[in-house]
Amino acid sequence: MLKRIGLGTMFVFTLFMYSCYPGGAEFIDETDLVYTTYDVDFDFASERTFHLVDEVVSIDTSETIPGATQAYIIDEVRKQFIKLGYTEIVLDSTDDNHSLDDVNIVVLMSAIVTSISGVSYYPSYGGWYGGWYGGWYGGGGYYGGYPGYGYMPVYYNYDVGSLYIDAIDSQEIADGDDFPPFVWTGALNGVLSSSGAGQEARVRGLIEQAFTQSSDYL
Amino acid sequence: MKKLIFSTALFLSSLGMMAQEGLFAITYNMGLPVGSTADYISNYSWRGFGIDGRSFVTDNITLGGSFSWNVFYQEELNTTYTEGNQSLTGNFYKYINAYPINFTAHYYFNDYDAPARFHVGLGIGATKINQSTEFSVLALSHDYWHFNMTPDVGVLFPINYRSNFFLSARYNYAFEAKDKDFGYLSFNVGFAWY
Repeated sequence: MLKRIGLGTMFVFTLFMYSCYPGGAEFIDETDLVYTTYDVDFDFASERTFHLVDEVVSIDTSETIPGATQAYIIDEVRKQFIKLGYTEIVLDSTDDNHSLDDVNIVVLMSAIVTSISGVSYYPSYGGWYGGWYGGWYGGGGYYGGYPGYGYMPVYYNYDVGSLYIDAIDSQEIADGDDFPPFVWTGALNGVLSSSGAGQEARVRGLIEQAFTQSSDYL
Repeated sequence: MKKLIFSTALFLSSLGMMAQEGLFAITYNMGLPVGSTADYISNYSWRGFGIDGRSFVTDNITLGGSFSWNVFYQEELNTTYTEGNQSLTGNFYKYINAYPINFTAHYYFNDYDAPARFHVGLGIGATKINQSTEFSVLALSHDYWHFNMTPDVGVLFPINYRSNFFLSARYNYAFEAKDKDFGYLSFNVGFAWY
């Protein structure tokens, strides 16, 4: 009898332990990543000038980046370079006073949205697969299902946005290199919200982080 | 996972046989990572349980088996990792699930009717280690079986002629497999029945 009580206790205890399995990301902004890398041989310090190409190019040519989105991305990148002490040099066909020789780095921006979808199967124990899988999939209570009731399919579909900020040595372009190497890259990545709410502040924050973690050399 | 369930089921059925003339214990297990495991996750684990089955081969020696589970978790929010000319910032969610399955031998310093029955033991077997680092929508995983060795000390405090309050401390060491070894101390509190 005592052994039965023991096994029962163990079973209930196992369920309890499984139900309080620790967290992970719950909100989409907790999926954000900022990656940066640079060319260790490039001299960023001697001439702190940049030219910003005034467009965020869509890597997926069938899509275009909305103008308002491009505007705040360009604005934030410009702001961050100036904050680091860079001077912007505007190069266009109407300006005969400046050339690539006046610029140390040329900055390009590009973006892509990737859709990810699929299905995962989870034991039908109840609601602890909440958060960004959409909430409660169990049978109504915390222990909505019990072992042996099989697995619940959880369908997911989300968009991941990636923004790339690349700096090129202007002399490589002046020398006619068709594929000049990047001397600095910032890659920002995160799950996009379906409503787009708060997205501008979030993207601006990620751009700032890319410059913050590069400030030792950029 | 199927292998793990099968091994556990086999193990549990052997416990049932052993418990006929021996000792059966259930414990709540806490864990303290040590060594390279502590470098990865330093947080104390409050999640775990264990079961022990032991059969007396003499008055003071048991042979048996044990199974336990400990989960270690640590989150590193807005953390930057830098290596060479590359940096990565994000939220990192780290997990280790450890499932040691051991054959055990124990020596008891005191008799059955002593107010406290101290013992030492050694477990040898295998540990399933599932280590995972989740970030963004990605995860890096290490999911392998390791050869395992588990020295332990414990004490039984009799409640009545069959039941005991049971305390033990174990060092669980999973030897290197796929370039990783794991170690943690587990502190276990529970009940044991003759």
